[in-house]
Amino acid sequence: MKSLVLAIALVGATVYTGEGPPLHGATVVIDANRIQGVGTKLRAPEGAKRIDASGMVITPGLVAVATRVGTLDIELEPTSVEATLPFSADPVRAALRAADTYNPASFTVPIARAGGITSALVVPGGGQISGQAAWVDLTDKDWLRRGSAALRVAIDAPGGPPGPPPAGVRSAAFLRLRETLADARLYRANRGPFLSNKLRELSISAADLEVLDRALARELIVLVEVNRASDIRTVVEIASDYGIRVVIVGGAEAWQHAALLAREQIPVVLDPFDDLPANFSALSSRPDAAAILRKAGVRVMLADLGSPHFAHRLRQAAGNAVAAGLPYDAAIASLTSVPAQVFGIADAGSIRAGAVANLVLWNGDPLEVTTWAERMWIRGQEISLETRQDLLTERYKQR
Amino acid sequence: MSRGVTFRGLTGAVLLAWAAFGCAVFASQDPPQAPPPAKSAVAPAAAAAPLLLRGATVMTAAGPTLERADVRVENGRISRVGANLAAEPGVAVIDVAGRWITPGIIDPHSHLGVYAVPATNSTADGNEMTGPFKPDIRAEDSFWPQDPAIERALAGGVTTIHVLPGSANLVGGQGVSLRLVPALSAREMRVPDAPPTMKMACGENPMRIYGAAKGAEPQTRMAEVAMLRQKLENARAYKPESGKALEFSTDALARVVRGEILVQNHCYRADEMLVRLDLFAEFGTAPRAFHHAVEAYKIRDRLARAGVGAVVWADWAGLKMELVDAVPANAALLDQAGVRVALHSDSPYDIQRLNQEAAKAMAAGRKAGIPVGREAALRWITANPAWILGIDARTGTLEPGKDADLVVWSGDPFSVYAHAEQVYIEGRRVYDRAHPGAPRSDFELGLRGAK
Repeated sequence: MKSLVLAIALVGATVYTGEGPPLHGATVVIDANRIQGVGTKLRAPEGAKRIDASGMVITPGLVAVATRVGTLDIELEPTSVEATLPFSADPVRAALRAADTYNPASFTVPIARAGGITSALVVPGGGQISGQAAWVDLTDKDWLRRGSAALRVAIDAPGGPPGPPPAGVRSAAFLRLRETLADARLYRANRGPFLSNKLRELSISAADLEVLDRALARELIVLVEVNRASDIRTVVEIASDYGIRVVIVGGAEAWQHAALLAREQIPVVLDPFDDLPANFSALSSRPDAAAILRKAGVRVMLADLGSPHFAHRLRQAAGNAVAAGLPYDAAIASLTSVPAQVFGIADAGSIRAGAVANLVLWNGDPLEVTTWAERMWIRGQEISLETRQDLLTERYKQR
Repeated sequence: MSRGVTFRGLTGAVLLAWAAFGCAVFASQDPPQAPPPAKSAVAPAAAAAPLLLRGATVMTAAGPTLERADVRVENGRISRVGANLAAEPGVAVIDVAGRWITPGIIDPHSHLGVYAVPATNSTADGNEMTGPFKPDIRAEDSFWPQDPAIERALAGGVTTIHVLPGSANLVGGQGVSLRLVPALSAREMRVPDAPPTMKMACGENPMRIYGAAKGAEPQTRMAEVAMLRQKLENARAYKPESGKALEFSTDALARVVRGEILVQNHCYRADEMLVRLDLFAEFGTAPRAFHHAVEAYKIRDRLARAGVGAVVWADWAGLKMELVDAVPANAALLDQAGVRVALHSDSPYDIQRLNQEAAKAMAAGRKAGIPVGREAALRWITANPAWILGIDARTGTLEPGKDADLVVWSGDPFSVYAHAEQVYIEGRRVYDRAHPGAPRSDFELGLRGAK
């Protein structure tokens, strides 16, 4: 063994590896921070700490995508809310990093963990080009896996607290996005002249240009929050014009372009709870959108895109997508391996030899509403699932 | 869906914070131009054909779960529940073997129709934020029966909703209990003989809407209490004079003081609920229930003693400071202490899955070591909200004589995978998952897009 930490063998569970059908009566071995192996014939190594998991279910840690977990404590208390600069401050701030203010001690983190979430793609709020999302593990220290995992762009929502969008936000948003990308393209081809002040003035700062340059280089994925079918078509066009990789977030009407999105290999982050004609950009929302997109070959990630206070509902959201026709294994993948692949966190999101040991032990079907997460490991370390809510319950149960 | 996506969940109680949502209003019981008595919007009971639903697992919300049982419906009412019931000639027999039957779900706190979707300036119709006392306004007068969310709620097994004004105001206005039958006005949807209700609110919302946003009173909780005390005192002393116009607002509060109108009180914190109980006791009355009541578990013995109900969520927490001590075992702790507890949605999203909310609250109780039976959990979304609304004599359980408001589920209703397959109100099938047909809402005609 490479480390002094004892290997752990979880024995006898039904294991959803995050990719494909489950293994029944399987063993998962964790050695230090990695998964050493998984299989139905795997034997626990000599000296490993053995945990009987028969009758239980193991999944990779769930990933909350496009979440604001860790960016606030109390949604409606501005003093506790980070990363939601008002739109008026500066709508383009690509260089802003959610990672700089992600707070592992936020009230939202333990509740998310209790929902089986081990990792999150944390997005900054506010503005037009809001800044960079961070991929974090929900640990108390060393949480950052990638400080710049994606760039958030809002077309529909200016982000942050709800309210009417600025007048004409959609057309202005597309205008600004194109203008920004055009400037970044110019910068990309003329970095030297720009740095020696021999280029025309550009619309955004040098720091923002550096970030957008990575998007043009296809290193940085662009998350576009957009819902209306016609707007989604425009996003596809812009992605093609500038050669950027985009992920649609929200996508209430994305199902109408299922074939196009599959052809363009554009993944979609969907919230299965968003099934209402909530506004004029979402009039054809439907509960089976995930099933339709998946069937067409689109890579689907499921998310709870509401307040981060509801992040723990992710598994319930996925259960509802399954009830609406999404195959079960695809639902599990959409919460685990798909986001890891899309955002290039290669060793996350699945249970296979060599993968990082983020996993959850459940007392039943993780997508059901009557089960719960019993134990959790992040990078091989068991982490407590206790919440402040549990402590309150204990205190008052005795009275 | 800017607001939908980013802040879904912040409807009613919480969204208020921003948009200034509403409150409740109540109306005078028999004002001079009192509307005629409510009629059932479903065709008169006699017109509903007799039915026999055969062979389901039946949860009556009034006793143990019955396996392979039948439910007989006559004249729009439940006539019998039991095994191997005879099918008289002329009775339509519906084979529901392998399915589950429960009473129709009752949501005791909804803003459907008054905060309809799509969210527009026109559909923000549930909060009269022009003054903290609006006892004379009625949710039913704002209610838009074309709200597309209504059909989704029905598809989630909801048969009855209590629509309230929002919580901007100390006294927000009168609520109304409605059945989700097709109708062109709220009047046609009223639950017959449902008692009037009054929405009141404490805490952050009135402080924010008036104190913080307008520099008006109330700015503080102490002002909220003092202001309400004075209004109730005025109402207690109020005597309509013959020959003079009725003062609708004061008259309505007078009826609250006399206990003729059920007070549905939005209140989160334990200390505020206790203050409220004391205030009402000064006038010899009590609220029917505290709504949201996220800290009710801390005072569950007091609520049980006072006979005051608690209307709670399964797992909302943290959105506002007054939600900071919310716990998912709230419902289980309250139930164990003998409080009449109900789950509510306060949301056009959660209302579609109140069966799942009950399942989550039940599981949270078990996880905390509190034994919660499935039958008890079912009562949180059926019999108990019926009591809280004062309509338990006619709906909320599957007992002979009750309205045949029921749901046929594809499987265990406490499973995330269960669908409401058929929904009946007064014995009439008002939803059939197998034959969805055109959207019920006129607004949605032609909008859902081709698959």
